[in-house]
Amino acid sequence: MRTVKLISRFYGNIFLANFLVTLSCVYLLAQAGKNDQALVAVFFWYKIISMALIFYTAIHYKKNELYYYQNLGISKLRLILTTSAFDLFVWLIFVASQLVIDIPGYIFNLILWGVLLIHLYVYIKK
Amino acid sequence: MIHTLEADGIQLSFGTRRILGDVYMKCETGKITGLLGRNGQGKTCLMNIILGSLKSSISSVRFDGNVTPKVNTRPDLLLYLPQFNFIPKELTVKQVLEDFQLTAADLNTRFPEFEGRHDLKVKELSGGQWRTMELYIVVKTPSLFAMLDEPFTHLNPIQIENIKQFLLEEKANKGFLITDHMYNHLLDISDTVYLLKDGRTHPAKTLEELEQLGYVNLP
Repeated sequence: MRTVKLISRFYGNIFLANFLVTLSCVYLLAQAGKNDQALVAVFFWYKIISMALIFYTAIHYKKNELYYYQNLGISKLRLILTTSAFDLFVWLIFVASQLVIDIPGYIFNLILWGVLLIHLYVYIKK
Repeated sequence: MIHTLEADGIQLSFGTRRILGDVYMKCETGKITGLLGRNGQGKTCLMNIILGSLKSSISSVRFDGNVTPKVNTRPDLLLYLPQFNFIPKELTVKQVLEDFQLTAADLNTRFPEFEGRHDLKVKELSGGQWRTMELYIVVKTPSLFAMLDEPFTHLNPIQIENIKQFLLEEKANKGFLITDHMYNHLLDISDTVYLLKDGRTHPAKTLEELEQLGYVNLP
């Protein structure tokens, strides 16, 4: 449980950027209409590349803090693998939901504003 | 039971520049091992090689005689205090203690200046307190050994004396490998001292020996 708490704390630093990429993928899929399935591969690589850039930036700016996690038994590799696997899973769920049930546009707006407000609250609390 | 940490045959080069060549050193639980050396001699590199976060051409890191390559995934064997601040600055003292499963009461007893400051974020502490906090978690968290890279940096003379006393008491629970430029403090508390010079470790214990090896100039 402690490991999950620590990994999710690290993920919290990069969640917003990754989630906005996921949301933009789903939004663009919704705009594509009937051609949406053909675009999934394109958005998959868009997601992978942006994820790599976000993780690279996070590791670069948080490199000193990685020793904190290391002293708690969580290596850099483990942090990257678990958080990226979870993030890709979230992307998969959203994309699959869009393809199956065709999420209406106002739902995107609600999710986006919800996430932004939560982040603003967390940022102010920090 | 006494445990040993040995670093043997360590070699490291950056391009054509040889940093470490055939280094050997041994640490034991219950003892403090000091590592001295001028800037750029490879003290931090040696610690990173022992930790497994820096690869060297040839190296053998052994715990109780068993080769252990990726020590950085084994906090039960070795903990590391880097020379820079490593606790995430937005965490509170309380959260840090919880993460490392340490008690607030013991921190207060050992370092009374933390009393009533557990809800403060680490970034709100003074530089000396921040460093003391980092030292405290690395020293108190159970493990066989701890490597401390410049532990006296950012500390005032009173805090340094407290930390020295703290380390002398805690060496009963683990072995320490410490490097710092404040050689007088290091000589005071170390059982064994190595001087890293020209890519090799040279055992030294007294100021005279350090002078002979060209590390200090005595009046």
